[in-house]
Amino acid sequence: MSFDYRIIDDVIHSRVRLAIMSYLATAREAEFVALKKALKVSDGNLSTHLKKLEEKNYVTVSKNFVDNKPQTKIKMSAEGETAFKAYVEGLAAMIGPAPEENK
Amino acid sequence: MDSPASRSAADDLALIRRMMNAGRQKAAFDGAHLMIWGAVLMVSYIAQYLQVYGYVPGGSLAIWLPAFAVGWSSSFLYGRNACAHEAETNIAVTAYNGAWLAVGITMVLHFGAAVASSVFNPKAITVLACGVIASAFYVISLVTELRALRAVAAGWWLILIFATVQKTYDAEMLLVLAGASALLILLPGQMMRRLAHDKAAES
Repeated sequence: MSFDYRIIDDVIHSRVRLAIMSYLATAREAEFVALKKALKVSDGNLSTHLKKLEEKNYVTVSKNFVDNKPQTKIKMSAEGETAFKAYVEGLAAMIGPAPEENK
Repeated sequence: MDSPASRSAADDLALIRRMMNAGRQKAAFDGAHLMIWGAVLMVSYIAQYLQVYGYVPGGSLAIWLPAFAVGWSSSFLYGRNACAHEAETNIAVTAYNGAWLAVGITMVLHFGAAVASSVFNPKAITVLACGVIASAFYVISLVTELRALRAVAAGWWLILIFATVQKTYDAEMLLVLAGASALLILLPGQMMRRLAHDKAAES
């Protein structure tokens, strides 16, 4: 099986960041707390991983006020969408075709 | 036998699938539209009940045309305001909006056809309304996995059955529908609104 490991994006490869990207791929946008609950991680842990994704322009983080309360929203960017799609395709290529297809 | 690398990739794919599913089911909408329509329908049914007994003047059109106008315009204004605030859109929100738009269009078309043909069958419109509302709640419950909405859908199916088996369709059915509008539209709307606001407040 020929597989180029370099196509696996190191930024997305971390388990927490992969979970963030997967969630955002279908949710499109999420509030910080909702994301934290879905991932079962701490505030600090989530912030650290979001920062790394933000640095790569895979997500955008916006802060505003709703009913005088701060609200943080995370959205997947077009760049992030492309990178995530490439990552999933890379993983699928790594696993290879189903056993019966190998025969 | 799988190598450790392929096992890890399989785990990652499982994680991706799980998280994508969680994101897909996120109910990120509030129930303001349901509260609006629940209140409008409840008041309209009570007004029609009072009309049957002569406490309110005019015909059915005098009640239902303003009711539809108030409901649609309120929904439109609220929806436009939500869009201005970049409301979240995912499959759950799309299913929610699509389901209720389908209910609204179906009911307006049926009502329009009844008015145009001067054939107004209250039993038929009740059964149709219960059926489409139940289906909308069921579809939303499947997409969002909010189990309480399945109970709401079941409630509407029960009212559909009750309305279908009635031999004489009397004015008291209007009170049943007014109660159903309050309990099975207004209340779920308030529940969903509270869920959405709790999420916002936690942020």
